[in-house]
Amino acid sequence: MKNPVQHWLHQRISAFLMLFLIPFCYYVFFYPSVEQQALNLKSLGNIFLLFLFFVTAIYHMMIGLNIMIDDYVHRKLFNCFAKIFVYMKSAAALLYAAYLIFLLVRG
Amino acid sequence: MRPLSPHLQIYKPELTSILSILHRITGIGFMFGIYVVLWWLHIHVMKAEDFSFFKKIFSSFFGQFFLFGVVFSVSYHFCNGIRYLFWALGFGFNLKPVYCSGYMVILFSIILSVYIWINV
Repeated sequence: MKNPVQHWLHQRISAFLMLFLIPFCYYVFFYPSVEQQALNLKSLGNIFLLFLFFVTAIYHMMIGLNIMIDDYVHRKLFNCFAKIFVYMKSAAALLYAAYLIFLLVRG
Repeated sequence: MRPLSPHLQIYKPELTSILSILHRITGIGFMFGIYVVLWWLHIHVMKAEDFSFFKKIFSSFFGQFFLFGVVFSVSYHFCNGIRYLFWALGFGFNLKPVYCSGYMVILFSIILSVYIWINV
């Protein structure tokens, strides 16, 4: 993301969304017992919000890491490789999360 | 490589700079948290291994240390993130509120970490 204002805005919007998604995920998926967690995972609304959490968190992580790479990695080649690694890692995590959510919805 | 002028060796660490770099470090910790959640979802969906393996990994000393690190990272990054969101709206930029909110972030992130640790 070449535009720093755009980056700033995306970072804040994703952070604002996670302000609600993180407590939701904690109370619905981690606070209850294992059996209750499995039950909560059957609700479509919960599954949708869990997917939204993954999308938001991975995007927030990806753009945050890109800024850190720009700040600390100054050699162009290493900078490029590091960013490619971050993009691939984020894409893999998101695709796998989407696949698991798809399996969950399919039942 | 060109020489850099001294910085870390010269400047006294302040609360503001420490909390700022801790926000970046805990952001990395948060990244591991996302992968832990992904693994948890994998176990629930795939049922390839039951929770005993997950529990075995995280009941060892290193597992507990790692997990507490992730929990503290998420708590701190969350609390300090709220502080940054207030700054994004233009509130709390004077010196006194910056220091006051900084100490509150440390306190709340410790309380939140302990609360999550006890209850999970």
